[in-house]
Amino acid sequence: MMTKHVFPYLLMVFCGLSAMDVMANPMEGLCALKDADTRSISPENFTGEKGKGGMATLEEGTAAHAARELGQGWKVNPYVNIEPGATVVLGETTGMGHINHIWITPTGEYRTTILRFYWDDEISPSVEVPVGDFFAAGWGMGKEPRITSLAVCVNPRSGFNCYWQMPFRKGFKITMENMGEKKARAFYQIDYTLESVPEDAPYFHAQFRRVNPLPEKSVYTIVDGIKGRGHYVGTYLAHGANSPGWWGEGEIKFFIDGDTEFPTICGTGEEDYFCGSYGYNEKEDGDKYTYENFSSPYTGFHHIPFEGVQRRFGQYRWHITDPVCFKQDMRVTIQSLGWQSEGRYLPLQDDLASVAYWYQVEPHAPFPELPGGDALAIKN
Amino acid sequence: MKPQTLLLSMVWAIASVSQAFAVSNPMSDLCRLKDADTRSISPENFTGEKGKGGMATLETGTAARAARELGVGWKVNPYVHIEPGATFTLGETTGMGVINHIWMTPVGDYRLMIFRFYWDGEDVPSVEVPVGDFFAAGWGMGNEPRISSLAVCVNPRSGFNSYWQMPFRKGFKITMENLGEKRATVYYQIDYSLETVADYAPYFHAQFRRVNPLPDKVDYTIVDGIRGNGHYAGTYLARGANSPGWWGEGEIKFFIDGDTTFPTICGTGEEDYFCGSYCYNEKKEGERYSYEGFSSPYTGFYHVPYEGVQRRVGQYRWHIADPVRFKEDLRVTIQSLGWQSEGRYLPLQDDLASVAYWYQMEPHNPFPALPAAKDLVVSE
Repeated sequence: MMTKHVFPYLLMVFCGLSAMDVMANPMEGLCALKDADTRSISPENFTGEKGKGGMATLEEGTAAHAARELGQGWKVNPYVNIEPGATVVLGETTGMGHINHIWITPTGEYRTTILRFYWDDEISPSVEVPVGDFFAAGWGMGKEPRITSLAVCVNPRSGFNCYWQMPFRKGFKITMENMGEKKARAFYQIDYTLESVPEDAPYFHAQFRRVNPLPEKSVYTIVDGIKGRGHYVGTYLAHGANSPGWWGEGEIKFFIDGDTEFPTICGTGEEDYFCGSYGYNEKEDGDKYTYENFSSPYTGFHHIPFEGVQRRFGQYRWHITDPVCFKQDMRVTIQSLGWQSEGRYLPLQDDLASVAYWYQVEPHAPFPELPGGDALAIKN
Repeated sequence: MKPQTLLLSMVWAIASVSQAFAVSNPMSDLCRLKDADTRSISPENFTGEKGKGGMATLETGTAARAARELGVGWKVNPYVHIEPGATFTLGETTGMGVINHIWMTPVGDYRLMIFRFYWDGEDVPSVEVPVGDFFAAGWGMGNEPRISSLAVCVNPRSGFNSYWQMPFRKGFKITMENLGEKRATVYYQIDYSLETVADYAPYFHAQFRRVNPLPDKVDYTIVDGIRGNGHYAGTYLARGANSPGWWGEGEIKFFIDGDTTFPTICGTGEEDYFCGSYCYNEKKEGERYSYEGFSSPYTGFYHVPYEGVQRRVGQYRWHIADPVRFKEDLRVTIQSLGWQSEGRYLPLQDDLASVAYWYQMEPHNPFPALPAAKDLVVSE
């Protein structure tokens, strides 16, 4: 019995077969027992400890007022408040395992509410991204798209979910900073397992950038300075078109392992990279532009209603089946191009904000400083 | 415990941990480092070679006119033209690896733009399918469905994506032939990785068929003559109903490994095989029929608006969780049935076109000759 089962695994272990050969079906994982302890951190259990959920008392709970006649156990502390200028630790734990899912519904200015993830006691965060952008919803409260993808779901009304798997070996810390001027609030849940992590499991990273307006004829950098070994797994791009006309002609370029002037991977257009085509079915009617939104398991596009001059879009691409591997370094750029007279490309000076998602072996190169104030905020 | 048993137990323990980890969910693959080089072929890098993207000059680029004031690197060659009667090599490379994703947006008569894939220098293609049908969008330009599935996505406006994994050991060649009378234009991107492919990994195959009208009381053959060891992975069926009334009563039959008169797997109806039911909620109002379209990760159905006599629909089923294994041979047929008076089945003489998708070890049996252009085209 045992030898019958061992043989294929022996083959896999010793032939170093890639995961592609193993993962026949997304449901198959459920058919194997797993030696893991499931835990979940929320405001109802900040440490995730076994048997310690829902213990907040009426003396300390954020929702004590609502539960005052019901008492302990009756949703006494389901959210946290974050004062302007404050940083709150959403969750911190020790041990080895993976984060499997995060759900959060934040209230406040998404762009100035900053999520940071630290793996294994590191000093500089591996994730540093405004909370909306992290969930591919960068245009603020009330402007959430609907996303149904394998890595991120944004559900009614503002249910932000991420399914990126995030291994840790000694523990993790997740914080949220409120850089805005109003109180922020967050209900959240961080679902993880304590289990052994394979030696070759790299760590999850996400970096935010924003430039507005993009200087003429310059190229927007989605990420650079990645040093190490790993693979690039996704891009979220919030594009604010500052001038009329189609805005998505620019090519994406992946500079891998020492590429300088010319990239290894060169795209054919912005909506092409996000796996749509032909202007996402753009139609112009007077001053109004319409587009066709979509959300697939892998990529998506949405047009955000906005009455101001800017036209606002969000686009995601998850490289789940097609991660871009690097062994030493990686830089990713995209052009911002439209059209002008006589069939010429028009370099645009648009509002570009992005999140780059990747996995790599630590240590990571520290991120550039996050923009502050007006350089970060969205004008309404 | 015998030393031999102990060793096996240890290997089992180690192997089963990584096995469980690898298959735990579709996102887990990303938590493993992979010894792979990521490459991508597009008109901006026909060979996929490292550091050779976006090098086209203003002398050679298809879009040189648009980039004339910007120069090299500014989207000089994002598409190709394919003249009537010509066959263009979209991509060709040597080495071992896996195609992970293909994106494409073709302009032309989809039914007359023939996609062919050759693995490892083979003479007869393993894929020979009109480009629209390959992406489950067989009814022509402007009639693209929206598909959001694990294997295929069709995004606005005409963004065709395939996520079928396609291993190759010595290289691949992908061509497109233009059987039409007008010039075709194609933007595309073939994302692949160079990596070790397991000895037991079979090759991807796809075969197109079309019969219009189906002779009376004849089964439509989706595929036959498959010889080898592999598994059937999907069906796309474009049906044009040539007469009024419901059209989807026919049963699908899988004849596996020597089955002759009776199949091993027998369905219960056409919409049943595509995992809908009761006529996809068909409603009739006067001469008008309406249906409820859907696109799930595994199966889908859509009704294409058309003013002519035919009613046109597309249906896909991906056997991702439930591939149909064969060791020697496989034949797949479907009946075409409606209803007539006194509760009797009515054999239909409909327009049926299909793509069969499967994996098998090479060599494959050569495909039947593709129908002539006049028998391929969809009437206006």
